[in-house]
Amino acid sequence: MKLGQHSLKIDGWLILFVIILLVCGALNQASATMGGLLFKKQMVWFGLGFLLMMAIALSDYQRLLSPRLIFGIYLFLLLVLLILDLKHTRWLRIAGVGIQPSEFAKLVLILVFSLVLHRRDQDHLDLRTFGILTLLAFPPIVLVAAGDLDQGGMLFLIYLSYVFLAGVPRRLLIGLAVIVLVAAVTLGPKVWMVLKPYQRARVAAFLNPEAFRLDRGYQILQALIAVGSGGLTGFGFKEGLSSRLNYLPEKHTDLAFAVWAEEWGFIGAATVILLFGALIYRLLRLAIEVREPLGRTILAGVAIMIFWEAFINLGGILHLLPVASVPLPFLSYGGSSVLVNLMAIGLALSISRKRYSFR
Amino acid sequence: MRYHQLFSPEEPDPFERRLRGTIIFIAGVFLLLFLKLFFLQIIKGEHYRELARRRSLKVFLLSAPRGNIYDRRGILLAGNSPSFALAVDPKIIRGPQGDEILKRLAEILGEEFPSLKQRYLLARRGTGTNQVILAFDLDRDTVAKIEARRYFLPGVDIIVEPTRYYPFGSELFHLVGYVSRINAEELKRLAPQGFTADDFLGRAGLEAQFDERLRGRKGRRLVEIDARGRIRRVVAEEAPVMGESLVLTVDVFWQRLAHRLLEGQAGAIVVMDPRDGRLLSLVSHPGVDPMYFVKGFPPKEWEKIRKDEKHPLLNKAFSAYPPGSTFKVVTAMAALEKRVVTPATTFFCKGYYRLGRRIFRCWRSWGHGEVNLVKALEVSCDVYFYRVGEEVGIDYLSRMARACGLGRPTGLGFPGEKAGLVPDRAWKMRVFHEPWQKGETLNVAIGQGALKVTPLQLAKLLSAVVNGGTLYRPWCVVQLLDPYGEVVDEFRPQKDGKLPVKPRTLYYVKKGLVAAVNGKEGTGRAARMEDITVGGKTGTAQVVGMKKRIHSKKLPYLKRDHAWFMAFAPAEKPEIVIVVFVEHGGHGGSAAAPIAGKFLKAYFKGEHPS
Repeated sequence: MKLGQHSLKIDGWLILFVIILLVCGALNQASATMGGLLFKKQMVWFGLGFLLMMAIALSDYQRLLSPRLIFGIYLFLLLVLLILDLKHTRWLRIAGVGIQPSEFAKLVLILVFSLVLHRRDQDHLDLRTFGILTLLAFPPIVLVAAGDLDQGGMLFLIYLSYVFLAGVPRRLLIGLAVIVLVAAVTLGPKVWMVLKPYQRARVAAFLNPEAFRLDRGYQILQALIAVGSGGLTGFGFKEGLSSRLNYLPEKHTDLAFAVWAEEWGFIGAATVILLFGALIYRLLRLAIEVREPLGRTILAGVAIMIFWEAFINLGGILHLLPVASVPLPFLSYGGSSVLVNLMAIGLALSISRKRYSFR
Repeated sequence: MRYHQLFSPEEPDPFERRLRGTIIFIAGVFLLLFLKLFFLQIIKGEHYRELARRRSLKVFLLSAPRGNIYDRRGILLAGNSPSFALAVDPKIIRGPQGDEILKRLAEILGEEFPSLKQRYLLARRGTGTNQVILAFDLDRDTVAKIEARRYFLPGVDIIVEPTRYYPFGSELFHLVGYVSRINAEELKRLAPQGFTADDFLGRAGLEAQFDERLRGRKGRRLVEIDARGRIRRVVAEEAPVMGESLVLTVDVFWQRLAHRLLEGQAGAIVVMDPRDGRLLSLVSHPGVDPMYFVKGFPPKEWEKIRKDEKHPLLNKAFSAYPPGSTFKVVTAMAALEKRVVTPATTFFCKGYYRLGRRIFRCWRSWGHGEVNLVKALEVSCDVYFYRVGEEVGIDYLSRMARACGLGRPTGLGFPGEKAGLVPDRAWKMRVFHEPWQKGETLNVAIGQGALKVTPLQLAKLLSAVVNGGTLYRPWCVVQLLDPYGEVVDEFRPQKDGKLPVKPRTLYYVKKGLVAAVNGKEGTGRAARMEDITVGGKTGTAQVVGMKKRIHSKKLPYLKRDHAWFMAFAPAEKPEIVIVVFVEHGGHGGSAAAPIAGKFLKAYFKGEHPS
């Protein structure tokens, strides 16, 4: 690695991956929304998000992210979530534009967790730090989960990831694994009995979508048909049978990747998966390279957030996981998702500029 | 950044170690995603592509218009007219949503929802295809209503299909035949050949005989169906090809005339050109309006037809009956050919003929006196033919009958044509396990006994007798036309052999037949014309054996005699042969001959039969 004049430059790979993903997302939205109003809105979000990303990338994150600001945002977020929960909505409406604070909660949690870990910099997670993390994590998780279980789960995954990232002692880790395993075997059937019928149906539909082809299995079955029928080269842009004929539900949001895989085939779908892999790998590499503790923790957090988002969404569509209503970064429609992910990348870019400084 | 650096042992930083672990974990997950994607798209790709195709592409068969049938002047005897049918897709019309749609449909059709639903469920069970026809023959108002509400009726479709149309109704029923909808059993059998539940099959007459040529080739339309069951786009279309059309030798004018002449009676008229065997008309009375078969019978009408003792569904021109005295033509030829008699030989008829201890009566109980062959044909003397029949013997007589085309189908090719029956020793042995009795020969000689012929066979036989001995196969289709009117196939007269008789024999037989119409004591005088010489032979076939002759009018209908008359004209150069058969009509001379006379008068002089 060269030092010197390059050390202040932002990471070209990250920008490249994100731009390709944005192009894929734009193409996909053009097809999934038939180039309608939603497509135009998404393009506006892309533009806004890109500007925001570059602005954050060019700023000095260390000056920007003061603890006071982070906690201020955190408290503000809690307030907003509480108000929305009381109003039974997920959407915050500002000047006619809907924003999902639960999306922003992910980034806020990452910042808060990173700040905590930075402040209590230790090799391993001690009980006190664990307590602080948990205490900070649960209010937003509960508030989000009350309105949107899937997003709540996402926040919980991020929280868990941070716990592991902070370093759970190996003995504890093995013990936990054993306990979970034993509990799954012994209590599993009992939990199954306690589950509500609709929850059971959701699992059953995951295991055997054919049997539920008209209700719960419909979505996964149509997603599988869409993805599978893409074959090697796909149906071509705007030609997907499943998406064009509206067999795919939620085709511009949750199942956007199914549209992509159907129209661009294995070549296109594998490219997107590899791009996500490369993006996440690049973020983690940067986290390894960066020496500054707050920065590298944020980088790892951003990588983990994008990983969970991509894995939950893609795993659902590819029938590795039950389908959860989680947008795929850059490919799914949604202003909040676009903004949050691009802001996170912007932050990562800003951190990457300082990877060789030890300040 | 090299691979070995990833796991370099000299890194003591635990955070970095955990990040490397995270990279490995995430790489594993992505490998999993990648492999699953590969499995779905590459390994199972064809499977899912097939599922997608089956789900969103649908093939509609477009029924082809059936070929038309024209008479020899080009008058349409069978054609097509558009009709609207209501089809629903069982894949979409089901469950509570389907009920909702059926309820809307029931409202439009003015029907109760439960009955419509029941009909739908029954129809769906029957077909197993992608379309269930709920109603045929919708009127235009209903069609317009459904089309206007198309958006609220997903899975509902109006299909326009060409429907068979017969302008002349029952008058050509037995010649043209009819089509009717394929039934469930046939559908099961014919489905592999591309038949669907809304297809028609030719059932009788020409419609059945030329079914494959008339049917045409179905078109196909490949469409995309969206998730709500609506057609989004026609992907490909193959237009249906209309079937070939038939041009007949039959003249609808003579056909209708013949039909009218049989009004109120049961029977058949066959009119043939003896010069090449072409049929000018072929009527069996009564007929049925073929539209009933196309559109479905009202139960009452069906009951009426089923119970009618005149059997409207039976084509009497092809059905076999005892020929009565008309068969004497064959006996006469056999006698002359075997040289049992010469034209000059006379016998004395005293009203009966004795064979051993049995008495065989002449129809005229007081006898005909001295009769020769010509006289015997003129007065239809039974005794003369008993006598020659006995001498000719059943072996020679049955051989002659077969040589005249009796005992086997004429070769017209219609489905359901009967062969008739020419009895002989072998037949008796086979069926009754008894030796032939001599008395039976006598009965056969005058056209009674087990002997059975069809009106068409008689027409073929008489044509041969009057045209110099050539048996022509009866035919009624001249040309097959493709949809553009080009001739695809043309039919020519076909010879079926020659009568094994000398011209001299034919000369005397013809003379006898002319005498039978024109002679002072001729039995067929009712068919006589002023300036055109008609020849012919009457026949009265007993239906039930009776000791005494009782006038048919006094018998119940089903026990009355069958009346026959066969004629040709003009005698010098015959151009028309007519066979009239009146079932249970009574006496041939009084019931059948006048009909032939009226027909011939109309034919040669344009006289309107009163």
